[in-house]
Amino acid sequence: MTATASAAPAAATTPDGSPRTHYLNAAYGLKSWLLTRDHKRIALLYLVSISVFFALGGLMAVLIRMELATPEGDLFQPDIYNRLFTMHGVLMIFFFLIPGIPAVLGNFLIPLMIGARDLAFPRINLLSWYLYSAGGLLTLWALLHGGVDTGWTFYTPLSTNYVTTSVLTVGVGIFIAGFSSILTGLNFVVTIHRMRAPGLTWFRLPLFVWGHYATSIIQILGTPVVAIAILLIAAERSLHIGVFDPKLGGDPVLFQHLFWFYSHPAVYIMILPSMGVISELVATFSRKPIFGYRFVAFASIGIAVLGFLVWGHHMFVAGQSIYAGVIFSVLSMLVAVPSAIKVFNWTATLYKGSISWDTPMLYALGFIGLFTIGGLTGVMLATLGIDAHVHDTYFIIAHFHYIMVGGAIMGYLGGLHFWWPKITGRMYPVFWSKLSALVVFVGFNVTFFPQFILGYLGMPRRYHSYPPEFQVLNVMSSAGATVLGLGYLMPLIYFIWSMRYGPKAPANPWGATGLEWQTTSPPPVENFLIQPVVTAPPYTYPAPKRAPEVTVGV
Amino acid sequence: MASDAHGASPGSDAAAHGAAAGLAHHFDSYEQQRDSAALGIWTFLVTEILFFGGLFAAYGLYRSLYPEVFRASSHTLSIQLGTFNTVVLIASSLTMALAVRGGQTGKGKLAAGFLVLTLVLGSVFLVVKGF
Repeated sequence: MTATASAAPAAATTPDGSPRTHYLNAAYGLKSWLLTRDHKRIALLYLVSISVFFALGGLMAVLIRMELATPEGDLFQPDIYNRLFTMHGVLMIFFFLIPGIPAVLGNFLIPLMIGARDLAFPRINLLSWYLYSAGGLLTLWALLHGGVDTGWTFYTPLSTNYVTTSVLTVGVGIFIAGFSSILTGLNFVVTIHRMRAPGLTWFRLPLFVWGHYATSIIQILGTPVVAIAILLIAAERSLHIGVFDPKLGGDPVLFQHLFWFYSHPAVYIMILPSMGVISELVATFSRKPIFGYRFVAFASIGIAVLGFLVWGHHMFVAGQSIYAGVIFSVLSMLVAVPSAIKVFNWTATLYKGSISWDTPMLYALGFIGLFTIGGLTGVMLATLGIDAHVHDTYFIIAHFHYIMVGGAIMGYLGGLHFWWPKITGRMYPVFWSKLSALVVFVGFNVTFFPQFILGYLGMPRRYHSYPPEFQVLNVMSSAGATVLGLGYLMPLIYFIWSMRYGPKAPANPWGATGLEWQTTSPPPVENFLIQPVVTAPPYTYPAPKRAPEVTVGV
Repeated sequence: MASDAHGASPGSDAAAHGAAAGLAHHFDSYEQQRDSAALGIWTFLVTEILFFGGLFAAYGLYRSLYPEVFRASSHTLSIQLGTFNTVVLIASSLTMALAVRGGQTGKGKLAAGFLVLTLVLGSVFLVVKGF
């Protein structure tokens, strides 16, 4: 990276304000990427790696839906099917959704949004990408050596005493990737506390930053617990220490407690950053300040805190005491309060706004609808009676896909479309991107809505064959998955196309407020040529070409 | 603000910026850098507490479920070795703190010496555990 240091006063800018050197052309070569400490480049490293895992996890989903197109288990043996849905879950959750928005968009944007030159610990940031990659490669290696078939939840005693697949290797892979997530969270917390630009008080922070702050708290407090739980699985499996083995006095349900103490909040690791993205999109494309800014900000923190108190709702039928069940049921319903605050406040922001239908906004509106369905079915599942009926059925599958795919991935794609011009300095084709938003929305609903009905009728999850009367709905779901897959392929193609052939993006193509739009696209290596000073709250729309809240500082 | 540092070397995030020794390029002041490091290490300690919190939870659960087993096994412990190891552990905390102090006051050799001593004490602790 030192090669271009001689390009010294590169503050030399063209009249329209774009610098000749930016973070992408500041240095070339593999080494300049693999040893970089620039948060923007690390974000792109993450973007490439999580896309690979998304594609692999998607491939597993394709195979699962192919098998389920017919009632007979004719395509795969049952044990192969078990491996398919397990690896689909492991890859999608631990290697795509959890790092997803924070490690790509958060990494790229948080320093830009708070007017900093980098995250507080650039080396640790790079380290976390290497940890992520090491964990990912280990998991892929295990995948090639038979994979794992316990379900992504690794429940004992199945995972410790019975299966013969690569539980240890995948466990270690997740353990290592978990530390990458912890370090990212730590980096964000310190950065948001200590690196804000002069004048950028907590209540002037964009809601994207608030969402990531709440996410980081969960990463810091939750991930270590699942790490130790997985380590205990490994110890139990190799040394038979008996923590989870009833024959030795252990308790298998203890694993479920430790696992869900993290893995339920982990759902909020996936959704909170996405909500942050949606707040930015809704405000920008309605040309209005977000309605009830402080409520939306504190709702993020509220979700993070409540998220730690609801893990027992995964164990209503696992032998947990009925009194604990009642308490967890009530607490789980309380999560709906901050979530609903967000949905209502976004809707109130839309009200009387001047809404424009750009691609990111289409994704945002899709998010609001799908997240509402996912959230409301979550309230249904929090009630003990309904949960006993639909536990371990496709109703659960549909519910959490509405949150994780309909919520988290819609937000991720919306955010990617919104900040793509900032990240690459290029625009993508308008028609195709709008079409992709539509195709994803339709494909998603056709895939997962039938699964609510299937689950309610009693089709259990994790089986490769089913009674013939469920076939119509399953074929619908598989057909929808094909459409959804096409919808995901389109951005992949036109984003890659746009990097070379897309028209050059201006600094602020959407006319948005926010510090990241005040610098050039793509940003210079140290983000801002002049230290920004903030004098006003965020979202002061209608924004003129250069937003009024930024004045040139000392 | 360190805005003058921006123009200096926009291309180098690896090279030292030369503006101020020991101050990383993305910090404005030594105070900000030190505060960030302190907050970072405290946050890291929080993650460690949660990490071992899982183990402690398991320990607490089984201790309350099987108190007599824990009582019986406590008779197999050696008071002498335990006392000795406690002293070793506390002494290693002292040498570590002295190493940090050495680092802060710029006495690099002293700091390194204390760090080695801490490592030695840590190994002694582990060896005693083996008995």
